[in-house]
Amino acid sequence: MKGLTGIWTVAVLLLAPTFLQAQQSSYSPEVDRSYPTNVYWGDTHVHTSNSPDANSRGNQSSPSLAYRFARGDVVGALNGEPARIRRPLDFLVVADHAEQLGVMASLQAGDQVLRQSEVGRRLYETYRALSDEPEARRRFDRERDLQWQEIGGAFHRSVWQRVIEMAEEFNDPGTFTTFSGYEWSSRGSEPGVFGNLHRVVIFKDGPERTRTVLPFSSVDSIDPEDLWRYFARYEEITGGEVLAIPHNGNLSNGEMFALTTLDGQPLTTEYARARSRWEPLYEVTQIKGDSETHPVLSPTDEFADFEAWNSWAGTTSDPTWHRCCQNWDPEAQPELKKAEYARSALKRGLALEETLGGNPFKFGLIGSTDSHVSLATADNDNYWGKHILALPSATRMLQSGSVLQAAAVGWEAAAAGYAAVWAEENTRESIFAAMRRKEVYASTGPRMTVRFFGGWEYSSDDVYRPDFVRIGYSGGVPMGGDLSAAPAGSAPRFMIAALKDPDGATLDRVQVIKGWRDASGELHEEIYNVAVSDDGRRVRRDGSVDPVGSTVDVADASYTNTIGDAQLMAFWQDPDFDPEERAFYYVRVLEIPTPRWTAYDAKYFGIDSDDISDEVWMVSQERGYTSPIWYTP
Amino acid sequence: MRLFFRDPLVHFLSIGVVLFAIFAIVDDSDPMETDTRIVVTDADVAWLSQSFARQWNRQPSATELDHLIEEHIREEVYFREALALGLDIDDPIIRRRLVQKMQFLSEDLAVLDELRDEEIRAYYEEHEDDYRVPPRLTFSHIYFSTDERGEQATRDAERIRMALNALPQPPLRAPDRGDRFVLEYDYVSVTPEGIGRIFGPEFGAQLSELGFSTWSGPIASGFGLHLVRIDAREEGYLPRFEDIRERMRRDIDNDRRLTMNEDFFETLRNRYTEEIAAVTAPPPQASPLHKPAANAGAGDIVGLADSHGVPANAQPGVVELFQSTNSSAPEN
Repeated sequence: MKGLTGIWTVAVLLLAPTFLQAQQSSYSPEVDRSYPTNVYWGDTHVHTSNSPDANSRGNQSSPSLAYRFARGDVVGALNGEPARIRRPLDFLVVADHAEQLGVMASLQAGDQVLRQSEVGRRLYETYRALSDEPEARRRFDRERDLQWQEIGGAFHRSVWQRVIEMAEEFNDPGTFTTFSGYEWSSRGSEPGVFGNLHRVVIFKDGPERTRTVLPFSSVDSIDPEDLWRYFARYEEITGGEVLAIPHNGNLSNGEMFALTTLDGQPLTTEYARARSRWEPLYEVTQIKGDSETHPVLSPTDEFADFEAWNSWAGTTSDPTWHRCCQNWDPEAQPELKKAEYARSALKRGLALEETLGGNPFKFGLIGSTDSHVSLATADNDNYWGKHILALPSATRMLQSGSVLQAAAVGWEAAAAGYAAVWAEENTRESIFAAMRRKEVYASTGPRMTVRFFGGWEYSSDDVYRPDFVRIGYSGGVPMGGDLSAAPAGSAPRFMIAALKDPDGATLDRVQVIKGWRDASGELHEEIYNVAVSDDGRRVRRDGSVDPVGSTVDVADASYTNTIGDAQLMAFWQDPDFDPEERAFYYVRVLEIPTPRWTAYDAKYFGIDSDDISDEVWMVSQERGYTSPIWYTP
Repeated sequence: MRLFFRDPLVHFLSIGVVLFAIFAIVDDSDPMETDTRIVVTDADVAWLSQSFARQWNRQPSATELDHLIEEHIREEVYFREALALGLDIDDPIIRRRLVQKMQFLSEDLAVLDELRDEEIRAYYEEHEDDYRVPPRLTFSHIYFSTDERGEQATRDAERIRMALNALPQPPLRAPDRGDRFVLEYDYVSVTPEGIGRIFGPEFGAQLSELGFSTWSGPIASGFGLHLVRIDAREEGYLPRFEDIRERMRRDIDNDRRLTMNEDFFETLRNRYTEEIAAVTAPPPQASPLHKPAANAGAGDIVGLADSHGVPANAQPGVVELFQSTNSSAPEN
């Protein structure tokens, strides 16, 4: 931590009235307001019965269940219990795997279009005649895997058409927005090794455009560059818009942010341009772990050890063990993880931009759940799990296989996350545009409000003005934006404001995380505590802060808001700025500690604490990550 | 004569006669005959041609038709033999399919007569709350941070409320009398539900109760205390009957269909008696499960060449029906 200069925290009160600036053209400021004042919450990544892995575990609910749940209806969950989200979401993307999209569901329903094709009819007959005998089922699976693509265009079009129609049915502009989308599920370059290169694909458009294409799947190509070519064709032919959001770099076997293309070639300028064009966002937190950073990569970051998928994606205690794919040389562990985590990727992007003239890893941050039970739940006290096996039960936290086959143990799953979007209105156009310009942030679940502006002109008390948002936009850029052309002798200035979830825990602190590339080409990161809750502590000269403490009663699965603050604001100017160095800045907002879903489970199901291993995390410090603001010399 | 036709017993008997006659016609069951005779009727042939035409967009040729008939007979033979062997018993897929057919049947039986206007109107009166358009509030608020002011927050808020309400003119920038707030100070035309999403549900409910153009409160939110002034209220209203008639018609039909399906099921169910074994709660789980198997292998992760051992779990009730190794099916 570096020394802090120019930090004001919320402890400073400004009671003196602030006089209005000169009036704008209309007496009513609303008329001329052209910036977003609303943050909309959503999940861009929910699976239903149309995904083969969800379906084969018993999810046979159509996307309508996902939509109805997300908009706030009480629905019957897959175990028959009534389920309801704590607060409705504002938008939802049902993103089923393109590979075998809807095949199982159509076999189960005896779909007419499926049976009109020769291959489909044969599969259907085999399926109908299938016994419970495991070998027969495996044979059938192989047959289906090999043949599903041959079922024929009419069938694939009809499935995609249903996906689109369902999205249209629930899209209610102004109230609840839906997008047609799917997931492209490439497993990376190494055959037989699981290198997660999955991307959620989101179309902005309505049926008149989306109907004209079929989802491009990893059977068509496992190479993301081919996916981007498909996007380019889509936009060229239809005039529509599409983007992709990668996720789970933590499970990518070192491939998500590799320094080579899928076939091992060095990255090119074209690659950089295409990737940043089509992939403006990254899903940094979700049920299968948090991908911001890892203790191996950020050993001095006291909050780095958070929801890391250690038993599967490499432990810190035994760094040779990377269960997803192979045993790794301990020396190689950091190299592997540099290509798997977001903060490291953002740093790599700076270096690549220097050599390529384009930054392939220039992405904003969102969270989403990747739920395979149709329910977009990221709340620790209302967490419905990843797969059917992970629906609430006394045993789910202790089973392996409930999250990703027999991989990680149940308790390692995180009840995360959501996507927050700063937009003018709750419509496809407005939300998609915000995603494109990266004016979005990730939350591990709590609906905290976070503003983040960067510029050269802000004065130190601007953030305390009632119209600081207007000042933020007029004098600089919001999260996701770019700064350049540093005025001589000045360093970038930032305004940050964070407000707690109205129905959740208070805030511990706000941090700015800076990454930069120095003149010798080396990459660095630094964490600055820029605002902390009162609680009888302050930021020391060396930049450190005492922990906020904890009010969590694990046995009772409860906490109180007697520590932490409802809102934190800060003005911050980079004290270590060098105008010659490329850099990025993003904000991390930490809540006070709260009970994790495992604690709520233990209480609800009456699990004896002696029966729960000490390894199991029972307390969580939830957080938000904003999209970065980049500085380019 | 009229009396004769009105007599219920006559109705009953004549219905009986008709049913008997139909049964006699339909049921030509000579056991020997049904077992061995396969009749392909004109209607069957027509149906086969039609299915062919739907798929290929042309009529089948004579050879093709022969082939279709041959296939049909083949299917029929296998089908009957399978029934005779009892292959339909204990087959979960056939079972599921039959259940589904029964449900479809039930759906089909639920033929709904056209709703009369009076019926929709009665429903409209009974369910008006479901169709009411919520009110919308336009308001300003002044925030008092309990983090900053502690106990003093309530008194401060009350003092400032009285001071503001005593002013002859509303002041400019009243929110400056309180603390800074990250969100907006002025909200235009928001429903109580929408206010609840921003400030917490209780806050939204309380705002609906407030009077106009005067500062009220303090009211607690998820963030602290607030003084609130309602500047406009668009009343909630019940849409005109004509405007939502079609929507209600759909809703009523939906309700009726569900009720009829349920009634149909209950009728069927009444033919059965049920005995259910005493349900015992599953025992608290055994401890071996509890120590997360740190060395458990990647097991049968789809598509993984796995050499790290076996899955540590034998999962009860796992729905791993269609799992395959080296599948093209994606995983997560």
